[in-house]
Amino acid sequence: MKLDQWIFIGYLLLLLIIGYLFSKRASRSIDDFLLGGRSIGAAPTAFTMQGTSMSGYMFMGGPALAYQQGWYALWYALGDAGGSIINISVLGKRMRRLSERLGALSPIEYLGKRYESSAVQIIASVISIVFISVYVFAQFIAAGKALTSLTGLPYTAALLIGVGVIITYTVFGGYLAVVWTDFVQAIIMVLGVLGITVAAVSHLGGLAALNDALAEMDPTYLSIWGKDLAYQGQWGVVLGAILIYSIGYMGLPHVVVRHMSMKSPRTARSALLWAAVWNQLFVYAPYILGLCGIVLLPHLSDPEMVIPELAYTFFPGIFAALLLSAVMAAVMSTSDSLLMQAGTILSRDIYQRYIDKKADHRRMVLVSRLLILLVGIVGVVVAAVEPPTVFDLVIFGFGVLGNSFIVPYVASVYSKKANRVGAICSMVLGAATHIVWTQAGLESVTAIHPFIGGLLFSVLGMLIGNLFGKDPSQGIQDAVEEAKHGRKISGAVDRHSARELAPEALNIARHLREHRLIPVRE
Amino acid sequence: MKRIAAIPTTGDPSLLTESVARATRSRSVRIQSRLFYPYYFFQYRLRGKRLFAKVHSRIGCTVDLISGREALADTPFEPRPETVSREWILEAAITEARARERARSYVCAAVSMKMKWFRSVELRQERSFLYYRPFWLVACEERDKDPVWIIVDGVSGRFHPLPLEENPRAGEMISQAIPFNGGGGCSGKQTEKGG
Repeated sequence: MKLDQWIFIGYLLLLLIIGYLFSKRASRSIDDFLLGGRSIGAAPTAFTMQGTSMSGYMFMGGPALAYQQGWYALWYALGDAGGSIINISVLGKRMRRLSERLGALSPIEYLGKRYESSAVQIIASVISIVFISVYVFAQFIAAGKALTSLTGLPYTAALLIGVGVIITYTVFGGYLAVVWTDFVQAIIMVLGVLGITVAAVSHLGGLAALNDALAEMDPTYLSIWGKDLAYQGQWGVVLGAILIYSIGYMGLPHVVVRHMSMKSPRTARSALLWAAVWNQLFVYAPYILGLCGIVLLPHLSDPEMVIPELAYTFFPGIFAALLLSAVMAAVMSTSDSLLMQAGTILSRDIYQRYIDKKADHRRMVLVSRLLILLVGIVGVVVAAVEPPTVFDLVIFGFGVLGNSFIVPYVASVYSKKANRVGAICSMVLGAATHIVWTQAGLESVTAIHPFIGGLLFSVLGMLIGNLFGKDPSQGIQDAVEEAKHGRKISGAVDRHSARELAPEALNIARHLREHRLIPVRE
Repeated sequence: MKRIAAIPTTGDPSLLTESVARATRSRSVRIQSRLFYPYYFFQYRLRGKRLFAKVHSRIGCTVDLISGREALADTPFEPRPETVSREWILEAAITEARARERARSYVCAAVSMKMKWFRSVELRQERSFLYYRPFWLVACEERDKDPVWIIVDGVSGRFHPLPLEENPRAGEMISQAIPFNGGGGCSGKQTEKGG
């Protein structure tokens, strides 16, 4: 066996040991683990968040696009860098206020409650499960490629091993990726990628020299329109490239967990701020590496292997193998979280809510496991037979999720007349348009990115659907109106208030009114 | 009056008003009353197997008896009997049976999600009880502005504004008497800030 393979196995064993030691401690005090991470400060938490959010896309998809298209790829990075800021400013406050009023814990539950419709919730759940799975497929392919690079095995064999490890890890292992293993991995990945970037750019003599070298090879690499000016004047494509990450995040379902006993909500807020700063620092590096790859590795057969190849070029084999092991472990960690998420949506939001209300935990675990098995089988087929690129799959999954949910989310807080028919039409049309646009290759015919196409049809679906459906109840309309203007409270009160007390505040206000204890004006 | 099991309020009310005034940058902060909010607490013994070890631990869960919200509870607490005027006690809307169902389901889901644990969890309920959590009703006043009404958690000190349609002037409550600390009358603790 090669040294690299020993490093990979050693690395996984090390994670296993760290996970085992921490989980053994957590077994004695499980509640502390569940309410977890409280003793870790905001900056390390943010560092860990950044590390765990780095999936196969950042290591393979993004650099590959830059390798193929030059500076044009930076449009995607630009959207990614500004994504969280746009999300917060467009939806942030209003959606938070409304979800507090509705008592919704997750975005899918929020849609169901805002549009007063089980159908909205079921459709949203199904779209989420399917396209989270697509995102997982991309991780499978990345795992197969990382393992090929590490072990020298053929892609199919490496893929089967990779997927086998991921599924086993998710179903039987779990719980090993405790916060400290994530932290160790984040350090290796962030420092590793930044290290390669510095090494590669310095080797080329700086960014200006990189640009000179690119211009010498093909001046269109420097163009904002892509190599050979493939997207010249196609603002519909460029806008889509920016928007897909900048507003696409709104479409990603996530779970909000409410812990009454958490020490300080301020830590979470600071961690988010730190994460945004980390993101600005890190988001451009993989794309820059793709550009360096054009000059340093001009004959690469698979552009998605830019970072692994550069790692072996600039680092001693041992560090490169360590970095690739961290990538593989990150892929495993991302996949198992996504699979867990999809399993929970299916078992809790669909199966228990609509199919078997009395389902116990055993049955729900079984439902989740069957879904994971299905995703694993379909994923292997997709990744083995004519595998798409990591970039294409991630953009596709992200795009469909974004096109399905952005309009219903935005309309939910900006229009009190937006109703359930509008929401259903918007989700279905948005998703269907993106799928058809991508599969039929309409981007090249129309010069419009599938994301823009999906967005237009999703808006149309909302506008037309609203004409047919019943208006939302007066309670919802009032809540939307209230969310628009917010409470007449100072910024300091708003900033420091504990969001998790919103249901209690709502019920206490109701009690005060009902018992005529309510304060009134003169 | 009614006798209830409540978590003891922590901290001195004058310190509370000071810290709220600091956080909210209010000119003055006035405690109007104290309300009691119903919850159910369930404590479980959790057993399960992981890849290399057995898990054997305790876990607590509280259920808000009005909105049905569940939360994991880590700090063991013992409620104490307290006599409170009925109007300051919120009435439970959820039965004990329903709360038990919700708590069990929530703990199972939380264990699966947070621990990435795809196995069924064995939970044995060790004890459960109804308790009330105290919340201070507080008015925060600012110069030339309507006061803002907030609730302050009597245990943790965290606060949240009350979603009232109107924000009235502090002290204008339609209530003949505002009991404080179990019927002792409102002390109207107030903290002035300079300026």
